[in-house]
Amino acid sequence: MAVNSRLSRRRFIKAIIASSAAAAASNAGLRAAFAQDRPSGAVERLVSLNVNGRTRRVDVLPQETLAYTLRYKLGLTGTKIGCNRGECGACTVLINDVTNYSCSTLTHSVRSRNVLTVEGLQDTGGQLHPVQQAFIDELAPQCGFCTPGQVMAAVGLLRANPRPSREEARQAMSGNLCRCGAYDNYLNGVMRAAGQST
Amino acid sequence: MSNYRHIGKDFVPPDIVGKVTGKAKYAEDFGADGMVFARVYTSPMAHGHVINIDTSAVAEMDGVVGILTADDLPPVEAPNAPMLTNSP
Repeated sequence: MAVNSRLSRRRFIKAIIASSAAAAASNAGLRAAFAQDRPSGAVERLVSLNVNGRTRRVDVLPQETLAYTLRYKLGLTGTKIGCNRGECGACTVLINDVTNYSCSTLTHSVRSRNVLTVEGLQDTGGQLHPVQQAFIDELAPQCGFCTPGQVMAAVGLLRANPRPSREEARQAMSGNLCRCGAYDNYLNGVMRAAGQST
Repeated sequence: MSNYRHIGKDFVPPDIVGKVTGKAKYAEDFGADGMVFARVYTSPMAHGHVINIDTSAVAEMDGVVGILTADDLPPVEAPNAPMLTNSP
């Protein structure tokens, strides 16, 4: 194998340093062109959010969580804050059809995404979602505090997997804690709702 | 046994729809425009006798609507205990 006599470690490292310095220099020019009078990391606070199919304009701090914005700025108190640390699931919402803990989601990160909360499930005629009706039929809610999170987790599951096995449903609902211990009733409700969908 | 209206009977609890729709309001869900918030400032010592509380630094602060100390509450009789105390 012929070795390129011009290639050496010294030349390679020099080339890397030279190219990164050139890149930094050009980037600095680019940033100066777009420079605004804000500290780096600042965001525009008045944002448009897509919540339950509607566009809502709201002032959002950079560090604000989605749960906080939904409850205290948009008046959607259906989403509950249980632990506020991503452990209990009471704050579960759907972001682009995927279950998320809204207490651990920065509102600014969902600006371009669809957010669905429990308030957005009923159709325009006020008809209950099959999951909601199934939870009523199976008497799942006791105190009801975990219920909105359980509902959203179930809806998220059935959107991804319309005919889950009981074990799959159990796994999907495992992110929602219930201090009343109504897990079995919720599971029965999920299976009931799954049976109703095609 | 059959005289009961609810015990042993199948019925839909009246609050269950509100729970699955998120309309049911719990303590933290209530609010009002212009509502104020209370913050408890606890004693920096576990046991002692409060001689004086100097609130001058914060009383005029923007957003402070009031400061309540043990002296602002009516006295209560035993066996009830006062909610705030000058002798923690």
